[in-house]
Amino acid sequence: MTRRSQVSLLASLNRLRLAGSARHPNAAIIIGVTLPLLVIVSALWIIGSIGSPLQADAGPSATIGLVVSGTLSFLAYGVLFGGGDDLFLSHVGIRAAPWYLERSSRLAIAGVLTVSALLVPYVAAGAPIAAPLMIGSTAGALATGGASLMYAMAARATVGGSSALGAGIRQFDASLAKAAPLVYAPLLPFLAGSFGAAAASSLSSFRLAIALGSVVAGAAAVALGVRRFAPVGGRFLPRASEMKFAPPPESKGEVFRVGRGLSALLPRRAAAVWVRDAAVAGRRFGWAARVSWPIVIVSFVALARWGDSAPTRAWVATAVGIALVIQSGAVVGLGLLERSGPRWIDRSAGARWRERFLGRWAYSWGLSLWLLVPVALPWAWWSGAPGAWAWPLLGALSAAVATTASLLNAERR
Amino acid sequence: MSQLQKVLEVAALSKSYRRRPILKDVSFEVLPGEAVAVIGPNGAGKSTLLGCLTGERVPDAGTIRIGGFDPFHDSSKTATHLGFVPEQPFLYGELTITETLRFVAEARGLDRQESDAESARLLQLFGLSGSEGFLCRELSQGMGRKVAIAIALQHQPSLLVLDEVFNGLDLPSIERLLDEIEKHRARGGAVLLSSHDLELLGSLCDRGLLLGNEARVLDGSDWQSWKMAPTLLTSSIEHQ
Repeated sequence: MTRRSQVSLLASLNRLRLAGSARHPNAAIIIGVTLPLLVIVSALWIIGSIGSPLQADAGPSATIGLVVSGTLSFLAYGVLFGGGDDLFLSHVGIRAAPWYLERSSRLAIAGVLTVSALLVPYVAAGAPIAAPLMIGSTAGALATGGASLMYAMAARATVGGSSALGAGIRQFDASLAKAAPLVYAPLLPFLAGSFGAAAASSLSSFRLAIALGSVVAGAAAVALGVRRFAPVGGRFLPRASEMKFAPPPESKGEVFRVGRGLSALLPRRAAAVWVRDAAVAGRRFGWAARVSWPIVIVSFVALARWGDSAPTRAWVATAVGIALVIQSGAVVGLGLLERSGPRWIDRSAGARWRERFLGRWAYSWGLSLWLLVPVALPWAWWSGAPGAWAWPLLGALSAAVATTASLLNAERR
Repeated sequence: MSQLQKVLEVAALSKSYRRRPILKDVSFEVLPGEAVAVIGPNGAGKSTLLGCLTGERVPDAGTIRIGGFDPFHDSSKTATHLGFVPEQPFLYGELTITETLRFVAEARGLDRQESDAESARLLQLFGLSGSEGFLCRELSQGMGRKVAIAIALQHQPSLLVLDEVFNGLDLPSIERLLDEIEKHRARGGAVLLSSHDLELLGSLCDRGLLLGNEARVLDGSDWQSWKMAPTLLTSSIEHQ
């Protein structure tokens, strides 16, 4: 079977899988996938209707490029190598080149969706979309092509095992040193997308030419990436699968304690779920907590200095909203982890749906409060805008949506 | 015996997880028509070995040849020789049984009519006729395993690698699978299998590969001795 026919076979597989979900929709798919999408799109619509920082500035800015290329660089590894069926496809004879081309196409689709999402505020505000579309497309094409090429090169370096990038840490952790090229791989696509978008933003007369040129360059980079990846795919994919394995954390004498602090307020099983979720998420999704601090610090400074400016407040609200979405991602991620089996532990422990909901919701809300309270206080002090008291309630609502999506995802097979 | 006649050839295979050695210098061969048991206590590295052979785990050292091909350099050529049923088979939850089998047949480049007929035969054999339209996410563990077995047998590979394949199967299905394995061997195909059912392994296999502190091939009188008291000899490895 030729490479082209294997690519079309993989495309048919994706169509079949999507059609399968559509043919047999269930609550888990509707609420676990559709609802979060609706929340994101409606949030973007609201931002557009109240006047976002993008609208307040002089026309579409290079910020779009930062958002698009940052999102794609962040997503690239998971989209390219995070599929659960990678090794299955290899077993049934799908070759590395068509496989990588299909995964790069998925990244391109993620780029199209990201750019489309960023156009929502412009549509809501009734502003022209041609310029942001071209700037976003420039960033998306360059970031997609750059990521495809850089991750292919990183895969080669990882399999080769002799990268200069990991030299400094080889003596401490040889396996981490081998993976160093993968750690640095997102930098170039991020920079390429950002600079391309900045160029498209500032050189308005050449915007269309820059966008089209970026699409061609991105496609060429993908083609080159596929060629670079093909010879090492058979050795890299099992390595990527092994890298998903998280070793148990070294014991620091910690004891799993339930019923201490605020968890004492919950029924015992719900409290146990809360403490367990906090431990698991802390080890698997540590970024969900870490994302709060930069936003808290920048928002504090921005509100203290320019709190009376509407664009500043809109930016703070947007940043907090995005951080909440990221944190919700970690909560949904807990459910996805459980799909592979651990939900039976809750069942065998007799934890009912409402107890699991309460425990996970408490964890999720607690996580969001570390973000919302430190931002709501300076908002109340310096912005002069009402409603800071409602922020923790917004966190509770967002936690409820994320928890529902998480538990429904846990039940999906 | 020439290199090409060996269905599987493993030489000096080693694998560690985070500096803990799991497989040390494992070497063995499997010839056409042979059935070889991979045995050893929990944690001895049975699934790791099978994972290395099927390209799911990358060995730290050593070479593997399946039908003369390296599974890491020629994965698509290896795929034509290999049928693998992992301990926890992967299936697309959104696809029906028929769609899954058709996709795999297309990926393998099999003749559509022949593969459809073979798939129908295997589904009937394992009692899945009438369930072809079920989504894989709706299948029980045993039904899912039967689909995985059908995927492994569909292209009549030269080497079948079966990891704990009898788990979750009802007795009639086990008997039908054993018949299929015998037919496969009669066609010149080889089988490598691991299972905790030591009696079954003893009756089915010609030789064994005992994993523990060191890997040891059991054949001839060693294999006969092991078959006499499999539990005793395997557990003695565990307590070394």
